Amino acid sequence: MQDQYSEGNSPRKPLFAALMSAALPGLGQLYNGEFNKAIWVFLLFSLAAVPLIVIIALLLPSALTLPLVVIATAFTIGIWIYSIINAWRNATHRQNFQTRIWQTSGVYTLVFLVCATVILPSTIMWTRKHWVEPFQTPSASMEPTVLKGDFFFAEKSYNCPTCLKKVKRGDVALFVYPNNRNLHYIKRVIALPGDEVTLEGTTLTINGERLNTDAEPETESYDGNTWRVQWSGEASNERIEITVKPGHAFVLGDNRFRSNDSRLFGQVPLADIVGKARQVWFSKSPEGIRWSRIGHMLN
Amino acid sequence: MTDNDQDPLDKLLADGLVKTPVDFTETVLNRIAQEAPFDYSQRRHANSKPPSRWSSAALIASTIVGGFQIISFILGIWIPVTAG
Repeated sequence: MQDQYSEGNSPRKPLFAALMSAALPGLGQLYNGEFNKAIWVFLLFSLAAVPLIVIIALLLPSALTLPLVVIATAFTIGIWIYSIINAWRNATHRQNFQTRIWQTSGVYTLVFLVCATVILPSTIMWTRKHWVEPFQTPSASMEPTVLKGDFFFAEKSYNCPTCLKKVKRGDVALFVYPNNRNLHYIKRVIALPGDEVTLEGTTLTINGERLNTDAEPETESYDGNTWRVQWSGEASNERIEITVKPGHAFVLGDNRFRSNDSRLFGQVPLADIVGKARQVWFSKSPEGIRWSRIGHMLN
Repeated sequence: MTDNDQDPLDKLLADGLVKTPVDFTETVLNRIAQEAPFDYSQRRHANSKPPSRWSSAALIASTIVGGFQIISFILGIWIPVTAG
């Protein structure tokens, strides 16, 4: 057994252990020789907290998205704090400590570089790209559904062969802006490939079926979905009649006379639709925070 | 039989350093007790030395960098993308 240990005794320094865990959860445990615990702490921090819980959130009703993301964040912070305190405490009990052959500054540095600069950023980027991503909207084009100043979560497991959900008419969707692929837009999907859309004044029809009524022009419904729109501002009397191209969608802002949408930039390729708005997690206006909007569901 | 061929224990017996094999064992154990006491607080720590200035600086720097990375990771699910 002698060859498994470097010669001599090397007491653990509690401050070192705590700072190492502050730099990377689990690193302080590694310093204390707790190899297995180091792995579990890091896995819990990096995978079980935010990524796993937000994936679970997508399987549950939209109303639980915000609470679960809050829980995931709190859990992550809790594991971080636990790692620091546990490393400190266990180091104080290791004043007579035989270092393992792998316990060198080079190993600590390598673990830190790989985990902190590669694994952690990759994990959060993967979660945002494929599962849940936060957005904010600075425009009023989707009022009254999405207000200017709303911060919301969008589910990204949407519109792909293996995704949980497919694009439907009436979805409030996020897509890549056709005229600038560095920008994202949020609009409502009105029509899908092959649909015939007619819009004249406040009358919108899809495949000959009118979405609203003269009595309630601001309430539209189609395919079992119902939503509110706004016809304020300067009205347009232009008649639009289009057939949606294969592989494309026709999108409109709910603030119909104040929206830059398919009427101006054309139909959106379905492949460019990347997410579906889910739940507001924060909202502010020039007058202050709109507390009643927090938790509001968008689809 | 030369001195080099003689069994080491027999040599010790002949030199009078030990009387019997049992005494030899006792001598060795006493010597161990003197050199390496069971009370570990009395043991010399062969590799224990104060951290160098460079290792302390490296640790502080990595804590700062790591701390920012951790905070970015925690807040990563909250940093919004603008959607017009």
